[in-house]
This record gives sequence, C-alpha cells and structure tokens, in this order.
Amino acid sequence: MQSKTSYFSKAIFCKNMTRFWPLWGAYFLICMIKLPLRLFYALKIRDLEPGVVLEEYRLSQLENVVNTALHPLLLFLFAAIAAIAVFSYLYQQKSCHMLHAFPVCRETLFFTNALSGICFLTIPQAAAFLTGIFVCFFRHMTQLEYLMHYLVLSVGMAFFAFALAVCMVMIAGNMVAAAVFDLIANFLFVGCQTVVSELLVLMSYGMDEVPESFGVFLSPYYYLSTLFPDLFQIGWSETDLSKAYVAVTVYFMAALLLFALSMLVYRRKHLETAGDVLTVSGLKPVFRWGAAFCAGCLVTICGQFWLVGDYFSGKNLLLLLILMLLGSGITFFLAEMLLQKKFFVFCRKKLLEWGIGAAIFCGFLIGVDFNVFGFETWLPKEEDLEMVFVSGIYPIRVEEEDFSQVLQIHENLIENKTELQRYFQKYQDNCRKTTLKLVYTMKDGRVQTRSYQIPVEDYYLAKEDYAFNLLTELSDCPEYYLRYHFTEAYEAITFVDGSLDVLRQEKYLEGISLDQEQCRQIYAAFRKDIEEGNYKIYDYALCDQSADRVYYNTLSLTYHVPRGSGYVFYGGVGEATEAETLQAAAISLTTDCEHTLQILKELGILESEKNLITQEEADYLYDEELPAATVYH
Amino acid sequence: MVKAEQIVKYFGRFCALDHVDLHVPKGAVYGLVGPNGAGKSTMIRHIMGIYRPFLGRVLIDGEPVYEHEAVKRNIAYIPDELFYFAQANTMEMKRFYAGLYPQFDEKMFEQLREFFPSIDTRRRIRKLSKGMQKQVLFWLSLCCNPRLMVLDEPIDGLDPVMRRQLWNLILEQVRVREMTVLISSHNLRELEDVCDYVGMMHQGRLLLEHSLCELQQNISKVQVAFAEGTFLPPKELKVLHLSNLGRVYTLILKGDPKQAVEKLQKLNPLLVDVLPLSLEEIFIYELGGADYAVKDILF
Repeated sequence: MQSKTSYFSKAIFCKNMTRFWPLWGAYFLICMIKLPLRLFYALKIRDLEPGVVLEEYRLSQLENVVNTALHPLLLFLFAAIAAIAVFSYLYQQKSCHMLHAFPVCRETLFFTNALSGICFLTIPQAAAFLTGIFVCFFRHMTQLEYLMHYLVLSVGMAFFAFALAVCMVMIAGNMVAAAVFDLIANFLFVGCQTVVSELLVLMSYGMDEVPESFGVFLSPYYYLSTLFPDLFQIGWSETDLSKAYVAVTVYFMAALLLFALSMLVYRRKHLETAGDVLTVSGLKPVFRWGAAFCAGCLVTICGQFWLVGDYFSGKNLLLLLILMLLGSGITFFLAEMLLQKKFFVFCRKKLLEWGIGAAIFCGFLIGVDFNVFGFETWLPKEEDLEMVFVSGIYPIRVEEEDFSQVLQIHENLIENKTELQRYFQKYQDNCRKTTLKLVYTMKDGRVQTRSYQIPVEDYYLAKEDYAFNLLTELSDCPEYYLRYHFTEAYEAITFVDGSLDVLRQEKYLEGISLDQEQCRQIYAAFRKDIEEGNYKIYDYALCDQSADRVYYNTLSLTYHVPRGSGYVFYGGVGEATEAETLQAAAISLTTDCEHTLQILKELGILESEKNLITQEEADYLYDEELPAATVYH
Repeated sequence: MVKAEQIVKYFGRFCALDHVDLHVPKGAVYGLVGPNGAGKSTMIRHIMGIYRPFLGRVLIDGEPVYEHEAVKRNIAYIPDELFYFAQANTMEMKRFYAGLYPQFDEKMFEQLREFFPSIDTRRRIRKLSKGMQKQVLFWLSLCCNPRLMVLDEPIDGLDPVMRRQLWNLILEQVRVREMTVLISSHNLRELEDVCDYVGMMHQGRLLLEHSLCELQQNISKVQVAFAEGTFLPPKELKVLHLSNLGRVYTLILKGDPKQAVEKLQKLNPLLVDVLPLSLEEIFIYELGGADYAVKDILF
C-alpha cells in the first residue's frame, strides 16, 4: 500500500523483482564472474619469471581485472534489456490498458519501474564489489581503491545507460523500436559525423575524415568504450582517472535530465500509441528525415566506391544524385510505412514532402560538388594556427616559422586542382604519387584536416614551386629528422640497446646487437650526419631514384624518453605516457652517412661498407623473394 | 456516480468520440450498447482513466478519474482483452491486486473460492482456458470491493451456468453495497435482464441514454388491422418502421404508445394492439434510424 505522497508502489516493485529475476540473476552472475571470480584467479600467488616482482605483477593483474570489469558493453546491453523489461507493458494495448486502469498514476509506475531497473543493475555491481573486497583480503591485497573506482564508475555508467534506454523506451512504441533507438542513440553523433565526413571526402577535393571532436561525448557507448578498457593501464595517471570521473559525473547529470524528460514524455503519452514505432508525434518527421538523409548518404558513398572508386578516380554528379535520391527516397517511404503501419503511404502530401526533401538533399550534393560551402578552397590564416602536422614523406610537427611553407604547399595544391584531377583520372592506376595529409589545429581548438594525392612525375618536379618540391624542402630539415627518429626530447634520451642487420656471407643478414654505449656513440655520429645534411629520408614514390643511396639494412635504436615528451607518428602527434617512455627508432642509413658508417667500423660492427647493401642491391639479390633469415647475436 | 462531459477523442484524424455525455447513477447497472466500432470500448477506457480525452472530462463521484489513484482504487475493470503477467498464477495475481487495492478482501477471496471450483489457483493463469481466465478476473475484481465495476464485453466465453452465477454475485454486490456497474455488451437479451439504464452509441456519439423502462415506454410496436383500403399512418406519429402482412400493419413508433393508439383509433381500425419491444429490437430500430445498415434484418 502506498501513501498519498509516495511515488513508489511496493506491489509493482515486487512484481518486477519476481517476474524479471532471470534478468537480474544473469547480470548478477556476469558481475560476479567479471570481478570477484576473475580476481580470485588473477591474484593467486604463482611462480613468476625471474626479474618480475610479485607485488607489481599482482597489482597489474588487479588493474587488468578492474579494467575489464569496467568495459561498458554488457552494462549497456543489460541496461537496455532492463528498461525494455520493466516498461514492457507499454508495448501491447491490453497490458498497457490494464496497468493504467489500476490505481497507480503514471508517476508511480515510472518511478517504481525506474527504481526496479536501477536495482537490477546496481545491486549486482555492489555485490561484486563487496565480494571483490573479500577476495582481495583473502589474497592479501590491500589496494581496495581500485574496487571503489569500479563501484563508483560502474554505478554512474549504469545510471546513465539505464536512463538513456528508458528515454528511448518512452519514445518507442514497441520492443524492437526501443532496442534500435537505444542503439542509435549510443552511436548517433559519431554515426552521422562519419557518414557526412565520408560523403565530403568522396565529393570534395582535399577533404579528409573529420577528426574526433568533443561531440563524440554525445555518443555515450562509443565514448565510454574508448575511455574505460584502458583506464588502469601500466603507468596510468590521476589525470586519466579524473577524466573518467568527470565523464561519468557529466553522464550522471545527463541521466537526471533524461529521467526528467522520460517522465515528461510518459505523462503526455497517448496510450493508444502502444505498438507503434514512435509514440511522440513531433519526432516522426525527425525519424523520417534523419533515416532518409543518412541512408541517402550511405547509398551514395557505397555506390560511388563500388561503381567508380575514390575521389581521385573521378566522380559523376548525376550518378551521385540518382544514388542519393534512390537511397533517401526508399528509406523515407519505408520509415513512413513503419510509422503508419501500412504499405500504402504514397499520398500527395507525402510525395510533396519527399519532393521538398529530395530537392534539399540534391541541393546539398550539388552545393558540395560546386564547392559552395568552400571546403575545397579553405585555407587557414597563419595567425590562427596553433599547431600544424604534416604527414608526407615522413610525419612532421611543423615549427611556427614553417607554417607559411605548409600554407604555400596547400595553396599550390588548391590552385592546381583541375590539373591534378585530370592527371589522376587519366593515370590513376599507373602513376607515381604520394599522399600528403595536413592537420591544422587552430587557436580556438578546432581541428581541420586535408588530404591530397600528389603526382611525383618529372614533368611536375621540374617546376620549382611544385607542391612536392616544397614538401621535400620542408622535410629536409635536421631538426625534423631528429624529432621523427628520437622524439622532441632527443637531447634527453637514454639508450637501452639496439641492433643492425649486417650482410655476412652472400645474402645472409646477421642481426648484431648493440649495447648502450655503442648506441650512444652511433647516435652521436648519426646526429652529426643529420646536422651536416648527409642523411635524408626519401619519399617512397622516388624509391627507384634513391635505391642506390639508401641501405636496405635497418639500424634500430631503443631508448627511453622523459614522460610527456612529444613525438610524431604517421597518425598524428602524441605525448609519451608512462607506458610509452620506451621508444624505438628504425633508421635506413644512406651512403652519405659518413660519420655513422665510420663509427660502425670503429666499433667493429662493420668490417667495411660491403656489410651493407643498398635497396637496389637488395632488389637484385633477393629478387623480390623474402630475404634470408636474419640471425641475431 | 459516473459523469462524462463532452468527451472528444481523436485517433489521428479519426474522431472516435464526438462530444459524448454519459451519466451513470449510483447503484445502477448501466448497459452501454452499440454496433462494432461505435466507440464503446474507447468510452470505457476514458471512464477508467486510461485514455486522456482531447476535450471534456470524466468524473467519478465528482472527482476526475484521469491519473487519480484514490478514485481508481474504487474501480474494478474487466477489459475485453484479458491481461495477466506471464508465469503468474491466481495466488500471485491476488497478491498483486491486494498490493494495489487497499480494501482488497482476503476473506471474500476465500469465500468466493467455492464459486470457482474449476480454477486451480496454483496453475499459471495463461495456461487456463479463456473462460477460466475471465472467471479469475471476476474473482479478483469482486474481492477489490469496488464501488464501480466496469465490464467491457465480459460475458463472452463463459458457460451459461457461470454467467448466471457471476451475475448473481455482481447483483448481490449492487444490492448490498450499492455497487455501480457499467457494462458494455452485445448480448442485449442478457442486458435487458440486468440493466437499469441503457446508453446507445453509434459512430462515436451517444444516440440515447435512458432508463430501460423509459426506453421501452418510448418505443413501441403497434399492430393495426383495417377492413379495406391502404393504410397511411398519421403524420403526427413518429414511425421508425412500417410493414404489413395482408391487412395487418406493424408499426414501430417512437413516443407515447397511448397517444399513438388514440390517434390510430380515429382511423376506425378492426384492431389496434400494443406489443412490448425487446432491447434488441429497440437497438435495431434506433440504429436503423441512425443510418446503420440494419435494413436487411428488419422484418
């Protein structure tokens, strides 16, 4: 029996608990397996390899188990199932009518069911936490803060995942729609961003994938699944943990809003909509148009890839328009059929609505094709740039004084758009080319990326201000070479070891190990070569020209950098975390590296240059077969 | 007890209820009749506070029923489509009802057990026959001691003995506790036996609402025979239907039968006789007047 002021019904709550015990029972089992049971085995004292400290090993095991337990996949899955289960009466006319004929108001039904769902998720988590504590004590582990982090973060996530699912349940009129909406809501932002970005890449010269932005937060499952499994990695920091707590706190606040919104929707819900796909009439156009636009873009992208190829293979606007009209048109009317629960939806009003939408979609495509939005000709102002990353011959984080050089390359590519397009349409499958990626980070935090294919042909290379020549000029810089191979903290590195592949007899390569001191001396010599301009990285497109100057043998140097040191890789720019302080450089020496070759000979690693083979010699020697096995000493 | 004022309900563009006014006096048995799709179930769902009307309101004892827990505690509902929780048996459903209805009478539940001997209370309700499922719902609803019982086509699927038994139980509650009953049914012969009031719906509107006596007095079947000639009924008479077999004419008249007889007497008939009309006949003739396609079944 409930009081007049209470929004809790014991009868409904007990009904949920007894009816849905297989649901919370299953989640309870999963939680117990994911945390305490795994801890029980992971923390077992066992014989370890020499040099491994038992306590450190056990702590890493604990971190690993908590990491896995925090993965949101099963949590989001069970949150959706719980929400659908406790509000399942809303999906059938007869159950919906019966439940609402009982003396319980919608607020009571909502809060009691919501509480039941939260209990389904959080009680097993709390039980796993408590059992985990016992296991830790049993295994003599005292780092209980990890378990506390598990409890707080997983309860926070559960609260949000359930609130989002409840919101979708309120909007949907049947079980399948609720599940699909929940899935969409968890990926909506990244999904739309990917589709639009892929379309722009396909249609706009130089457009590259849109980099991940703050908006990714709006795709909760996607965001949390990238955040949590790596939370307690080796050398995790308080900053990582704080980030996780901030994210969960924000999601928790969002959950409160979602609950309020769901309650509002429930209050205003017309129960005769039970069984429909959507119960909120205001969202029906959003559903129709959202589905039509995304499907139109997807069909256009897939059609272009399957029928034509990528951007540089050429594009046919008429074909793209037809694909867009087909994809979005079919989806528009399919969505309408779902909404109306009938096949014949082709009334004049809907056809007119579709006509207007089709005109907008086509206008968008034509606009993109004719660069109405200015994506193709966009060039940042130098004073607005915070950071520029260039991935061409090798990755470079560009110094401020070189920003103008990068902009000159970019401008050159924009100016030569028509010529380059013609070239690639003619020689796409049989040409020498390189790919250049430019990433601009603006002072206001925005990130813009552009990507171009550049022909590497003598005709173009003869032009002094040609983009590739400018890129070579930019790349041929001792500072950038050092940073590429030895991070931005190249002055502060400490070597661990290294190796060099040395040709011993005929075509057998022998891997010679280098000790710390040898590495240090080789580094000093190599640095001298770089600074004197003896060393150069050649673009792969020019490999036939550089093959007699670049050695096939690889010099590998492993070193430690201070934590937080900046480094570049082909994907972008990073900062060395605790786990990334160990770095490695793989260097292809050139015939001009006289200091390095000299020190290698002095150290007795090389007898002469004959122990090294150039790319050209290697091609001849190995005749495109795999090289003979390298033996390491 | 029940007062529905100007209820309007749209399903999309379809007007399911069109300014319906309905009044059920306390302690009465009110029959809501009408053809399929007339809006009876929709009206009942408004009375139960399930649907929110587009316009108008439903009051139970002067209080709005929509989202009003205290009011709903005094109402029991037996819908046309039964719903029980999957896996639940009668005892579990009893506990659920007892949790929702504070006045649920456990003693009565035990007392009524003898009226439902065929029901295995430990068996899952969904495994019981449709008729038995209905009996369980009657059993539980009666134990809620409601002041208003709303029944939406409740008798279908029950055997005649059980039907009589259930009516006895319901009418006993009406007699002892002044329980009000609102029932929608197509079984007009049965309603005629139990109803005090009748409301007739058609195309979302309430065509008429009267006590059964008034209704039967207001519509009558008059047989009149003449020696010769063609009979044309006087214009003052409101004739719903006219048929003849030889010289005997049968008139279905709306209005006071005594006045009609007086007027017919002036035409010097061989015979004038007033016959009682059943509820089923009233239903047919009333709806015939409301353009309902009953012409083929009129005699």
